[in-house]
Amino acid sequence: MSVDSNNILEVKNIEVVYDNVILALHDVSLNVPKGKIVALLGANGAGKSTTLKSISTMLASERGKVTKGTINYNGNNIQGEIPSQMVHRGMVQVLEGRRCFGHLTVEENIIAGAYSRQLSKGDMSAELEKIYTYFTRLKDRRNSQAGFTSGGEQQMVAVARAMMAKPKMLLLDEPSMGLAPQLVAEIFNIVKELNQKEGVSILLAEQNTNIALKNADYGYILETGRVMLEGSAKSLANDEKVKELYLGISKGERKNFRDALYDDEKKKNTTAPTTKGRKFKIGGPILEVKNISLHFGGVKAITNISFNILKHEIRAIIGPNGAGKSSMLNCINGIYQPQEGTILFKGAVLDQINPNLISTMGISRTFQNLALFKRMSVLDNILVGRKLHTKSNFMQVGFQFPQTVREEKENKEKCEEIISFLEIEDIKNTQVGKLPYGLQKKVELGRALATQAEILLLDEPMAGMNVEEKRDMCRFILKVNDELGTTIVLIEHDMGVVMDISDRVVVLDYGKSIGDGTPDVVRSNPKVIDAYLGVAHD
Amino acid sequence: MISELLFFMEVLVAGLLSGTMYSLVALGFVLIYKASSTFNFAQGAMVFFAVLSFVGLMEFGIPFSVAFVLTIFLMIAVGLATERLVLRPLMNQSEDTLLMATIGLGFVLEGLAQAVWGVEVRRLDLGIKDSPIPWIADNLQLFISALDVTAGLVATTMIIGLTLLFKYTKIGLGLRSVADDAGAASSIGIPLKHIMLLVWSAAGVVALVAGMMWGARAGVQFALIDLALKALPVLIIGGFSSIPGAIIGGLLIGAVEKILEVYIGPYFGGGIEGWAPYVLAIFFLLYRPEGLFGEKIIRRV
Repeated sequence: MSVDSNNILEVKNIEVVYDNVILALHDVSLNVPKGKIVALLGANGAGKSTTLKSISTMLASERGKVTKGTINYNGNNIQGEIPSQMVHRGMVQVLEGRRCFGHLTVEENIIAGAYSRQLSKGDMSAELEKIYTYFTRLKDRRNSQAGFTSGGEQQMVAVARAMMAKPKMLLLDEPSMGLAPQLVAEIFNIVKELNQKEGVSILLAEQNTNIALKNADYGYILETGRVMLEGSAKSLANDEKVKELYLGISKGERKNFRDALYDDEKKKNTTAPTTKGRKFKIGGPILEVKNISLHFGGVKAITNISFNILKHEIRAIIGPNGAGKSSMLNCINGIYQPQEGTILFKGAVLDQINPNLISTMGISRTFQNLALFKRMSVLDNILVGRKLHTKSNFMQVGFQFPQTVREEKENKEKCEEIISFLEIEDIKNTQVGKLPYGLQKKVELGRALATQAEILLLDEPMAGMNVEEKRDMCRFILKVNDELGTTIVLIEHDMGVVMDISDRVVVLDYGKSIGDGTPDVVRSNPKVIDAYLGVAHD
Repeated sequence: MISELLFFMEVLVAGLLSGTMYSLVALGFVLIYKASSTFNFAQGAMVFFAVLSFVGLMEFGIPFSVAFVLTIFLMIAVGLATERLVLRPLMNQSEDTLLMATIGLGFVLEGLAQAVWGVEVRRLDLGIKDSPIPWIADNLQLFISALDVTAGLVATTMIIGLTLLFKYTKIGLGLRSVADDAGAASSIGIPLKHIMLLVWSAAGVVALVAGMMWGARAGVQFALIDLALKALPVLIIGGFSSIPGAIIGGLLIGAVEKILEVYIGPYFGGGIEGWAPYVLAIFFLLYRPEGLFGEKIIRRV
């Protein structure tokens, strides 16, 4: 076996096992040439993160082990190394999920990145200045506590911090996750610049196939722990299968999700009557937001926003990061109390509300940053959603009264229904914390469904998913709306998704409403195009 | 009137000073909590083990300063062994697991101390009297123990030292990083085992100092282990992760329990000191769960 001196990293036929039993990678081989960007693509759970962690030797801390194959970095086998040693050798990983030190300031975070180096005070400030030339946005925020900066800034902190170690090779895990398109573009520009000017080689794991292939030189596509396809970024971007599955472009005319859904159903079961169209016609307003303003101290999160939500419709709230979308949802479900304005639910003013009360009224939600019980099984997590429909008190449960037993049985059946509705039967006994992000999102949807709410508030249900998974999620959202008649309010970054499945869209920017109407109306609103899509007018 | 005020002052000052003794014990907990988010149940045993070893060495005729240095080395060795034998194998286990491990460690240390040094209560003479300082008693009519004042000074010095260490040194930055996110810290090359070793050694040294103060007052005995649990309400009030919190919490508990004991105690038949701190702690848990100085729990919804 010859070692190609042009490759900084060579991974040969590795197999990875977690907890001695769970096989995560079957057979993965890949090379990263010096000074190049290589993308690692694939769905949630395909093994991208595991591959990166095998390389950075972070795997051991998650009870995982490389059981077969070799990894050569800079010509040497990395077997037996520990993460701090790898950092000394010039390889740094940026972990998934913007893991910065929340209680430290932005600058302290970045300085911590140089921990492995012996820098004098002067050298340190020179290095800092250099980093700030790439991450200009962070310079203004250098003294803010990192935990309170925006998602995009936290991602930048994580990358900047890694760069302070002066790596020869950077492993980036999902830098785009949950960020608005403009920010994703900004971060990728920085990454590309670092690659070109600092000569750092990059191995990049991404869900966002489009942006990854645009910036990478070479790509690998993983599926269930195996490399399914590899090639230059260009050839992958033009590959029909990749286009269809990961880029969402099919040869024929692009169908919208509602059509695709019923086509699928027809194929699956030809005897069943197709239920095309909704069972519930869109009705009058169920929720009305009137002149809401919300501020935190001096910071205005929402300024004078009004819109309504009709019964049985799918309503989307869109806008760039920090536009006030999550704050809006937080107002609706009572986490925040707006200083001005009123919210009407079925004509009655929601006053003095809290999240608990709201859920008993029939409004349920999911969160942008998952809020699941990580150590409980999928089934148990969904069962929690049934709590509202449990009338027995703890004494009755303790003594197992007949009606309690009946109730528990009903709840369980209902949850099993939801599980089969969401097609997650195979993972129903798995601990939620061990599931990949995309599946956790599905579990969260399941729990919200279990409450049998009239209105579902979904905060970025498709963040961090690839096209196939997004399509899947859309299908479920439509199915819920069509068959159960649940009114759905959703926040989403993916414009394609929003335009396809929602009945009406409200667009926020800097806490103000800049557009409201059907997807077609919104799409052609120049203000929206400017603010959200970031396309300048000629 | 004047004499009542003087009496109150005396109670308050005595309370505050005995509070610094709590702070000293609490400090050890904070160090460990910062690095591994675990309440170190072994801290009490460490206090006992450290001071008993110190007294034991002195009994061999080893001079004070040499015995002190030897015990510091011993505590570093304990830290080393803890990191190697307990923490490393349990890396990335849940915090509950670590908590259980510290309980076990406590028993091991307790047994070890007993096996080596025996069980009898020993006296520790630091050459500082636990009696009122004459000058203050004469001039201000306040009866303040010299030992209390010494403990106060020692505690203040240690707190200033540790705060500076955390805020301005590289190792301090490393430690705060590990406290926030150990995984991310290790991904940028901060060696977790060095940090852990440092923290446990520091906690050992703090335990020794706390043990010396308490030992000089109450004798070196098993009761020291339970006494360390007094640090729990101190931590709840001050915040588990804050060094200044440990001292303020200690002062508050010391002052409040003394004042309650003296002024309200008689109505309850005395003995308030034993439980009043816990009542205070419960109020804090209800209204300010992160404590006075604890790090705000940052959560984005």
